[in-house]
Amino acid sequence: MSCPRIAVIGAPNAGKTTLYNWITGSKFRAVNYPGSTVEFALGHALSQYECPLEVIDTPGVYSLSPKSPEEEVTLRILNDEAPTGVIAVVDATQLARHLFIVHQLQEQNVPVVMALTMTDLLKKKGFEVDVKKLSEILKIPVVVVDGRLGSGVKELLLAATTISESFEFQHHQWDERTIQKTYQIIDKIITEVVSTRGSQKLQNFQRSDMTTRYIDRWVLSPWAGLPIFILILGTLFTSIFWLAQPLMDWVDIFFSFLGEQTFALVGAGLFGQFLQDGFIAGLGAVLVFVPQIFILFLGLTLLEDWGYLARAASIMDRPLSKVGLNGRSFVPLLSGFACAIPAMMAARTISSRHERFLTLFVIPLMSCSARLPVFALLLAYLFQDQAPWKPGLALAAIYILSIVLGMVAAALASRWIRSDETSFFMLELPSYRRPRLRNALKTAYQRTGHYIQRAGKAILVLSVIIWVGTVFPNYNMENPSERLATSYAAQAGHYIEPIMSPMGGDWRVGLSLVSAFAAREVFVSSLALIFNVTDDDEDSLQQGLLNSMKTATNSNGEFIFTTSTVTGLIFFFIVALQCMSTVVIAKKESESWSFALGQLGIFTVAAYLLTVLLVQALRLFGIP
Amino acid sequence: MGPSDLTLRLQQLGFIQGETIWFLGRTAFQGPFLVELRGVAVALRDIEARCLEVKWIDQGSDR
Repeated sequence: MSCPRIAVIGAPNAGKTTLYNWITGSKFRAVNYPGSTVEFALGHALSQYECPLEVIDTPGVYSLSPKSPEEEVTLRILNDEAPTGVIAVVDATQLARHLFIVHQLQEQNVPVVMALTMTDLLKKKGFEVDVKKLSEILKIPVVVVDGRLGSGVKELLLAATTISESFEFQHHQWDERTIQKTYQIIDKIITEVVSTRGSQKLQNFQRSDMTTRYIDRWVLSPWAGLPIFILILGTLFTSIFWLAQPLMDWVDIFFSFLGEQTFALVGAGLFGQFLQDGFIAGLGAVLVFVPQIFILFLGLTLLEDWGYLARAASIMDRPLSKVGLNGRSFVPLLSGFACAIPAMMAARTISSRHERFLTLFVIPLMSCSARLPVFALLLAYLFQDQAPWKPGLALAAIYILSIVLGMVAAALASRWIRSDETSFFMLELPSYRRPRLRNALKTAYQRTGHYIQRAGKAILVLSVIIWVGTVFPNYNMENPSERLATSYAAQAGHYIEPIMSPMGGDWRVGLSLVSAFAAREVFVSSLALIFNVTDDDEDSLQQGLLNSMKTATNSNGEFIFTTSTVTGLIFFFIVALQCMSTVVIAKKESESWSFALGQLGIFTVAAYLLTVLLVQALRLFGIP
Repeated sequence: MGPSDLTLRLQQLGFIQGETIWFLGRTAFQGPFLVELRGVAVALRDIEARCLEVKWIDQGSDR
């Protein structure tokens, strides 16, 4: 007999992903924002539960009438994946709405077992649910599950096994009368199963909690909402710089030490040179920025957990709709500051195809974490020996500029991609939850780990290529400058130089830019390699690179890294789409190669032309 | 989504005849309306709010 296959279904934010993680031992992240799960996951129940089950986690749905791509996934699972039963996840504090989907499933003859979550929160609100009575009325097993401790999961799986049977799902669209009748039944059930504790009154059951209402009075206020929004995001982006500095110094010291020790251990041979000047210097030049990336991930995680993102989406709906986007575009755009790949997937919650495509189009303009090492290096160069708040403020300005450019691009593209579709918003604002710092730290740690893994591979491969290119064929030459000038990389780089010179760069900058198309952060490691940054003197790796940049001149003896060139490079990185993984995901999400390649071409050409204009304009105004 | 889909969607969320909803206000820039029903706040654009027929019951500050 085949293993029963159970789908976990419920409204957004009911606790499906948390339950799925308990059942299967997975580590998917549950987020306090409706629509955080956009595709399904299939797993097996852990052996400790002694219930051999296949379990499918699904995106949240309010009903069985899907209105957006991620909701269609849930219906497709019921139709195509042949589940033998459903675990309907119901948040006890949202019983008055979440019972709707349970009733719909039952009406369509789907075998259901109910997992009742958040009963602890309900108790705090002063209410209790009579679980036995609820089960009797609905004629389905109801099991209380604690999402924090995992209690009740075994009982739930046993119940799921008992109800499991093959069924044919027949989807019917419900009319107004049926919906009205269903809610009347739900209201009647609530009066029978919900009781109050202490001085609480039953009529308050259908109100959100007091804390959420109190915070929302400020956070969503027409006059205080926007300053709070700016303050929250401003604090996040400026703290990336000033909070990370001491940690960055430690990483820098560590890589300098590692380079010295490796050189001492392996010796001054070709391999020793590669390890110290090539791989360790390249990797260290990028990993020194990991503390900043960690702080960015931690801040985003805390905002996700707290429940603020849905509020921010509501505040931004009106301004975003002016450029053809939707308030629901806000969360994918904000996620784009971490990485464009999950951000593009998050755009599935937007029901309008036109708005979804526009969101996909502008996401690469949001300054992702891979750009952070590049900006941090170039800002450190521009603001050497200046107060740390200055580069912090400049970084915040870069983020604001990327948002402004995103809006301009959306406004232009929305004129180009016209649509008669009516746009809708309608967003549930979940209750605030106190973020758990330990969980947030763990998530930020995991995200940073993925970043290091991804970047590390690209850096290793590119470091080998660039090191070989800059050392050979005359590897035994004594003078490093002469060796570099006659290297393979220099020969290839001279073809790029005519393209680079209007931007203010030479072949070395051009080569670093080309290598950054594999992964943006490779630009930093490539610069470190090409400029042969080592820890020969008293300086740290980062300071060594900054010093090399300061003295670097082109073939005419002019300084390369001037204010205009460095500003131009920052602008180039804001606009250019230098990420092959993003191109692949853009194709997947838009189901169109023309869209993905068009996006790559538009942003790369625009980045180059606008950078040339900027550099030349700055020079015209007397800025070197 | 067309307008009829929108009405149906609102009904599925619990905006049904006779339902009590609490008006919480509007966000900045004359953005979405904020209403609370069945224990949760929902943000609605003008076009969505226009689909609702509402009778005002003044409950002082608790609205």
